[in-house]
Amino acid sequence: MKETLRLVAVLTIICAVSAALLATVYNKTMGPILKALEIKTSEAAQKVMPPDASEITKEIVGKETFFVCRSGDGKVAAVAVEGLSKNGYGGNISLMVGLSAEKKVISYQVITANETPGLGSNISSTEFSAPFCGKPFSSNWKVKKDGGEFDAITSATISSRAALECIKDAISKYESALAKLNTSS
Amino acid sequence: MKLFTDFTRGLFRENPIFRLLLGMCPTLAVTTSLENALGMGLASTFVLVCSNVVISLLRNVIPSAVRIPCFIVVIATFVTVVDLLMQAYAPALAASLGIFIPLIVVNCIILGRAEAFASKNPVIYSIADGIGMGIGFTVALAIIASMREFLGAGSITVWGDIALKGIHNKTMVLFVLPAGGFISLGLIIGFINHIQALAARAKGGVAPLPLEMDCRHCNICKFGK
Repeated sequence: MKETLRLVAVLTIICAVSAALLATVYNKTMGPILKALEIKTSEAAQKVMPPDASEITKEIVGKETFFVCRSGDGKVAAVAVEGLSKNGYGGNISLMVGLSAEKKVISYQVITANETPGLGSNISSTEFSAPFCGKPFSSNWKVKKDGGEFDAITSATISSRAALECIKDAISKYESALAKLNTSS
Repeated sequence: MKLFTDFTRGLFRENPIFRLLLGMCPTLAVTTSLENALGMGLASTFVLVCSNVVISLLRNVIPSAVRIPCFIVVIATFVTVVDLLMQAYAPALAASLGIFIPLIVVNCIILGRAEAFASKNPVIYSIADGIGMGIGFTVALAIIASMREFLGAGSITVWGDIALKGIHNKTMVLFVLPAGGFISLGLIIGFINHIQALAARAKGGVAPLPLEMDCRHCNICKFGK
């Protein structure tokens, strides 16, 4: 009985000390973690905006965060929003997609992706992304294999499909929020 | 003197990957690029040294009946600390190592050293053992990753700079895929065993390999015969 109590006591003390340590570290790192994530998304948003975009504001419509750049009269000139796809080869993919008021895709940046290095990870390469830049929203956002108009990455069709889904997702988010964005100025 | 042998043990004689074949899951999974390998190696080294210290300090307190749960709690705590610190101060590395950081908890090298060494030796020797094993693990990961990244991706990139540029655009993608991990690991271990056997033969002896890694019972190339 005494031995059992000792076992319980030792385990409890070790667990309690570990928990206390973890709580401290968690509290200390929570700020920097959120900050790092925010810096990453806003940097990506900056990159997908037109180069002359001066003031970028962060606006939340529904559940989505939009990075908005307005022209002189307060109308939306360009927007960056995160497009998601669950169908990546290594799980979820999210892209920060820049969209212009002329209903064209500006460009995108990869936020999260776990694609195969050397194959699917090339969705961040300019060879793959260049054909998207300046394409209108009404393009057929599919790879050629599926009857669309875009080249997939060789032996990474799944990743390519998922990247296109992200762009489509971003476009639909933008279109459904456009009216609100324009009135909120 | 013992301190020094404890330190060097992990470097080659009992290298976790090439000699003990421990921690194969992270080995095969993260060695697709040199950057990941170094990050994983250093994170594991940190956890290994910390857990060795704590377990060595507590070695007379922890009752042997519950030692494994105690070890795991200690290791898991340090892993979570590393995970949080990485996410906070090295987000890019944390993103590319992803799921493998939490998996350090079940890396058999760390539990193995806790059980086989730290729970029986004083703190100072446990630190030496942890550092040695950690460096051995990191170097081994780096070797495998360099080979795989160079052959599979064409060039080796470390933190944005191209460290080694391939001469040809065509790459052997197989090497960054899971199968390539097994092939690379097998080739490197085979090479090391071969060199050791040759060196031992030059001295007129037989290389002392662990039985399960000894290829001398095989009849394909009749190397040891």
